[in-house]
Amino acid sequence: MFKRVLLSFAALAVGAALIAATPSAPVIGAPAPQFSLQDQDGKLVKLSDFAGKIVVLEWFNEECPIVQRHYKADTMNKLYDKYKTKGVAWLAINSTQGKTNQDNKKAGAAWHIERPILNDASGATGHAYASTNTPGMYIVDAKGNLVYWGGIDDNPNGDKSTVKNYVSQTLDELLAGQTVSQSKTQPYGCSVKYAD
Amino acid sequence: MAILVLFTFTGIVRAQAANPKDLVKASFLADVASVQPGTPFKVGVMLKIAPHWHVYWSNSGDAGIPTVVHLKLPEGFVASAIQYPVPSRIVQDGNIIMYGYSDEVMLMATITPPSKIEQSNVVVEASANWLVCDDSCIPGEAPSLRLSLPIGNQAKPAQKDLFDTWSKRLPMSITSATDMADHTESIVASSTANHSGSQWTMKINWKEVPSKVEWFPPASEEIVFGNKFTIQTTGKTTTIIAAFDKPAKQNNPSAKLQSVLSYQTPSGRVGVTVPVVLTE
Repeated sequence: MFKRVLLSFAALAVGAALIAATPSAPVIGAPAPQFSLQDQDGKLVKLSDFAGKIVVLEWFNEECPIVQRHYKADTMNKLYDKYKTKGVAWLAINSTQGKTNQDNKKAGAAWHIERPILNDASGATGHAYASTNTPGMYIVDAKGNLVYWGGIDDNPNGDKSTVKNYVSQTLDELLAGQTVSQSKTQPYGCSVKYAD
Repeated sequence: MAILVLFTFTGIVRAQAANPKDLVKASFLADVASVQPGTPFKVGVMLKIAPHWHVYWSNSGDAGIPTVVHLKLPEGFVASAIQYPVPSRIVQDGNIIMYGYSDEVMLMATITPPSKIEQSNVVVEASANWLVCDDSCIPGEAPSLRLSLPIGNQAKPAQKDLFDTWSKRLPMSITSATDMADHTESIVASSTANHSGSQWTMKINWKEVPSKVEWFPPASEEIVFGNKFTIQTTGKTTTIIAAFDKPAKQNNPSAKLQSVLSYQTPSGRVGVTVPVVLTE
């Protein structure tokens, strides 16, 4: 028979030992990793170009059926249209191996994406952000700190009647000067197809 | 303002080499040939998966989409939650950690019929949906699975070997895990939180250290476990340390979550459901 199973919760109010994040993973509340990548027109775009603004980063792969599902439902475009008027910047990043500026330009044109799609085919920025999935969402606050990392919403199977969109929840909180209520959520989608 | 978005696949989706319909074949089975009123029986959705492709567990991990089964039952029938066999770890690009199944998997549920059934025959329906991946991913579904079962005065068994095999692959609940009691001295779990975050620690003290100890965290919309937890065996103790995130305003995360611990013994792979309790 079972000797002993002890389950207990001990809250340490005064943090003695720091829980170290994996060295290669960005940390919520810490500065978001910098990057400098070409957009679909070959123009260099840097995260620092948006200093002082809230920035949404959207890990993108036009071949991923989950990304396709969201573009068919106009999820990203509708959100961008709503929040760009409030000064929020939004960058798509494609870390799929072998993708070119032309591929990104083609996808952007087909899906009416009126924002930069950055070429990270080398995967360097994806790895800096420990990005694992598409669509994968990150939000950087106006101070340049990472405040959100996870899925776009709570609806991985696309079958929920009421959907909580984490990006609009977080942006609403940031714009109202409130604490972000859910900084990390379940990721879902296709895995990022990194170059070897 | 209405925006007409012309959504087109032209030039974006490369022709898939595999026919999506062949990647996953779904069938719906019962472990009885007839239903006896009041006597529970099992159903299973069997997914046969093309070589090199995989579908996902209830927690898909860093990417993927959970495989989901919905049951539609006749009046008065009640089903348990869908039961998932112990998954395998799927690691891509060295850093992307997911949980799922290759080759085949049967997701099961126990159905309890009412003690009085008027009809001579009942129909149980199911739908399944999944994301099947290898290097690329294709969503799939079996929306209209159906079992027609006669009502009888005994529950005649059917496909007993198949259901026995797959039932053994389900994780055992911790109170009935006699196999585990044979192997462990004790399990101690605790969670801690400080200004850098929260973590859950489990220490398993083994009588004899098994091989290939693995842990699979639960998925929930509120408590989010990272998938790069540490799992280390020193001497006769395995220590698992898993960081998790919870919503900022929730000081009492009382979610009752089930993780899965698995390990290899001479008689095969053992899976155990380990509750993750995070109450203050």
